[in-house]
Amino acid sequence: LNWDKQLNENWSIGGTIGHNYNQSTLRSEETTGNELQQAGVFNLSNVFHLSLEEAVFQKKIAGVFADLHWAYRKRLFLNLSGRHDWSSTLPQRNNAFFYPGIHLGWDMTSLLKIVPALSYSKLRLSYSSTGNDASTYLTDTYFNPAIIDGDDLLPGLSFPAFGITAFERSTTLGNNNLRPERAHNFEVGTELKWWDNRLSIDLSWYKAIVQDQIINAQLSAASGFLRSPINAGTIENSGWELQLKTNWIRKKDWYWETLINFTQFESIVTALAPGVPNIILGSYTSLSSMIIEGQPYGVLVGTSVKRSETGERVIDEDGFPLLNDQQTIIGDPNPDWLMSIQNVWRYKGFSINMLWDIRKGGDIWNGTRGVLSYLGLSEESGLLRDATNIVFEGVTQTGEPNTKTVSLADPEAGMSGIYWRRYGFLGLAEDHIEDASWLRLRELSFSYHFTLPWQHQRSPQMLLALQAHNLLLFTPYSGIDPETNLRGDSNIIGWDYFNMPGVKGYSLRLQVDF
Amino acid sequence: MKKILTLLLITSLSACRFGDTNIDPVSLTTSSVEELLPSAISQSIRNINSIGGRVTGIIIQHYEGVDAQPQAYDQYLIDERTLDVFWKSGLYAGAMKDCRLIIEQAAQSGQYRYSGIAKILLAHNLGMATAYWGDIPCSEAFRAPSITQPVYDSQEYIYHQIQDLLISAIAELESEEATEDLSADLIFGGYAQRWIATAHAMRARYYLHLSKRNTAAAELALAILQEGAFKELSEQPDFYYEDNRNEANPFALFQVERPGQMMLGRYLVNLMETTADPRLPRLGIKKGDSYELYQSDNEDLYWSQNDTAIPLISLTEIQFIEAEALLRLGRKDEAELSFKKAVDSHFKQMAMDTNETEGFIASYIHFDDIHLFEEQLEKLITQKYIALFGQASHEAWNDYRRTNYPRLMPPDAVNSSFNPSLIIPRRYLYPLSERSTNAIQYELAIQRQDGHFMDVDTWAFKDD
Repeated sequence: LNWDKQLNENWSIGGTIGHNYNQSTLRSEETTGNELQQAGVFNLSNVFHLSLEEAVFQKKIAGVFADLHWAYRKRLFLNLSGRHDWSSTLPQRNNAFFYPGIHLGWDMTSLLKIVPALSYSKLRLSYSSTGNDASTYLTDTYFNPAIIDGDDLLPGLSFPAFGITAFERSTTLGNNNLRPERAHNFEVGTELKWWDNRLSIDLSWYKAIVQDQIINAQLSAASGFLRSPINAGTIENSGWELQLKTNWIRKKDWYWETLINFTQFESIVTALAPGVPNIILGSYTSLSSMIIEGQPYGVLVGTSVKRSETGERVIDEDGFPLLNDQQTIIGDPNPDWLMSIQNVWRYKGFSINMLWDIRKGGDIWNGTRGVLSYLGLSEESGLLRDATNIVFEGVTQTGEPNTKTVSLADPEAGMSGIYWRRYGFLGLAEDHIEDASWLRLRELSFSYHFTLPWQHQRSPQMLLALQAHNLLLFTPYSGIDPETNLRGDSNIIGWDYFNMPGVKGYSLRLQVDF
Repeated sequence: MKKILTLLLITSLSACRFGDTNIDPVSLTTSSVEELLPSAISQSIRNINSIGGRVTGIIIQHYEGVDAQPQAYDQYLIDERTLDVFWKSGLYAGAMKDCRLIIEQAAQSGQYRYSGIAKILLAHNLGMATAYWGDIPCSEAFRAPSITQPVYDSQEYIYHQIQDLLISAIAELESEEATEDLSADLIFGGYAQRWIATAHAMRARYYLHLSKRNTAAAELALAILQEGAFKELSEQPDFYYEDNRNEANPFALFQVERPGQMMLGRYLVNLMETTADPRLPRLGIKKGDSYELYQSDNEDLYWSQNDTAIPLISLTEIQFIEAEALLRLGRKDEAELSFKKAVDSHFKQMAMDTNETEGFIASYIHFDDIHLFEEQLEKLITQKYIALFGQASHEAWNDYRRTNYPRLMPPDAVNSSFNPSLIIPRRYLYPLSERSTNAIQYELAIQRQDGHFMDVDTWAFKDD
């Protein structure tokens, strides 16, 4: 339901009120046949082992919402909104949540007429909160067909097997006390246009505080469960966003515009639930991505060299660095800032478009280099394998500076005397953390707009374009294109372990508009 | 007006109540003991020779790790992550939680056979966990959500619990008259007498573990063996794996999936070559200087077959326990007889011909030229070490820590990061997950035991 009304010459008012009901059901059935009995016959009845997986996901959300807005002389805008939702995925007594918002916009253009260069100005202020529910089925504990594992290097044994079915209790403890998640977003921004809108600046600062995030927190296995969904804590995201657009040349035949985007943000875990010191998002051999209080979200934790009280590396009696007995924080995969610079030139029908993409900061664990060094195939292990006069910088266990000379790969010492094999498969995680900043020419295109010299009234508009993507890349990262993630589209970022390299692309385009 | 009324009507109808929308319709919220037991049995047996067995087998030098992760174990790079998944999904939130659930449910439904079997399995898993880590959670474990950070009980307490569980299991199995087959029992099909005999055997094993702490250990072990342990190979609690990828023996599976990473241990090879032990070609196939553990289509390699049965406790182990107990009680001749029986049982277990084996037993398995107790013990334990290959590396580790036999030396290039004294490990570091989720109890346990590095002895095997 909607209504708008002009109260008088200065004020206008409007509002919306509505209702929403959403139901979703997802059914999935998967049958996998393992190990064909007779080669070449690809039929599910011709296998040694069948495994079946069936899942049904269902969710219902109902909500009511309302929105009120006022405008004063088309200069001052105020918007109040609110929404109340009920969700099936939260426990009955906690399944409702309300979240309001308030936005204020102030068009200051007429006010700042005294500044002749300023052709447009606006100030924005807003606060909004959002609520969120849980994923399905977190409120109860279930029993599933048994999978016998307990070994991270072998596949598990899944039932039915040995002629019978078997079940076991899920290692996820259902939580009947879940509360909805909350996010509080603040934003302050300004939009300024100068010199007849030739230069426009859009600057905003935001802070989002996400509370009671529903995360699977690990439990001590000795309790009989491995994890339980809980309202885990608070994460603060804050940052700046700047958009700058300049029309250098704005003539009939000539045109040149530059568009710059800049973002800088930080995501810090400010509090975790009581009794939860940290949460492991994912682990592999010597590395984990974790949520730790006071640290950026998804910080990298891994094997590292033991440090003395003064922060120096501790070297063992045999001359090689000593491993820390606990894994420590070794890197932050979140970038410091991101920027893109786009230039568009146009002369009559020709145009050139160039987009540079810059990222500063963000660590990546180079697991590929770790494995290659372990196998003796990396450049580093190739160049250094004959080194015989290495003194590792650091202190001995008694605090004196280390002076012992070692060889990095003395054949006499066998496989275990090789430096790149001393610290386990994939090597020291700490040694493989690299800066993944980049400067990249993301797009370069040349295009030509023209019309065919037909006598017909409506001759089609033609466009011929040559585009190149990801043409140039400058980065200190020693591996493949660092715009990559082993874990794909998840909240675990910063892992490279035989990831696919980035691609350059070229395309030719002919477009005809009638 | 109509619009507002309709709105209010719709709102009121859909608000709040969603019934059982949030209950998964294709999963169960309860389960019966019949459905839970196969899982408990399978996981308990798998725990013997999956990663726990590989790591322990390497440090006790049944195997040598020559590539990838096994090579790291060989260098004593066994950190808080190596056995983390094993602690979590193999032991505590794996087999042990299954056992506890069965015990609780069976108590309510009066199905005592299930409860008895589950208690035996729980004792077995606790025995393995304490062999690896010393003090471990037990009395406060499995009590989520009220207790989620359980205290670590002392190893002495754990050994008491193990005996109590086995005694209680025997009583429950004796109490039930029922004789029908239990298809859920993948080992004995529900045959209570066999389980009772198994429980007796296990009690003897756990008594003998404490030979350094209890002067009566040998006597107790011998008495319980004679009271009711099994005496035939057919009564051995064997779990039958099958010849396909899903149902395969995990040791064999590892050799197939990741070949060439592990070889036969050098000490073991030397030992068996010097004595011309006919079992050597059954443990490995000679390739150049070393013996490989797996070769496709080679069915002689007994322990690397997909369908090799793995027992909860073997007849050969029991007979070695008997022999040792007799030896400790000064009954040398009887000990020698049990010694011969034990090696014979091992040959039979590996389905070897009597032609091959009789000669070896007659010529080598005896105490003829050895008169000192320590020398006799060394020979006995060293042969037991061979018999436990592939089926109980953790028991061989227990024997080594108890007796210092066989005379193993650490490999040349070992890392001191987790083992400053560079000795054959005495225990493992507590797992990473415990440090993250149960930090206070974890720290207390480490302090109480004066550390948890691999060169720190656990209570049971400390020298006085």
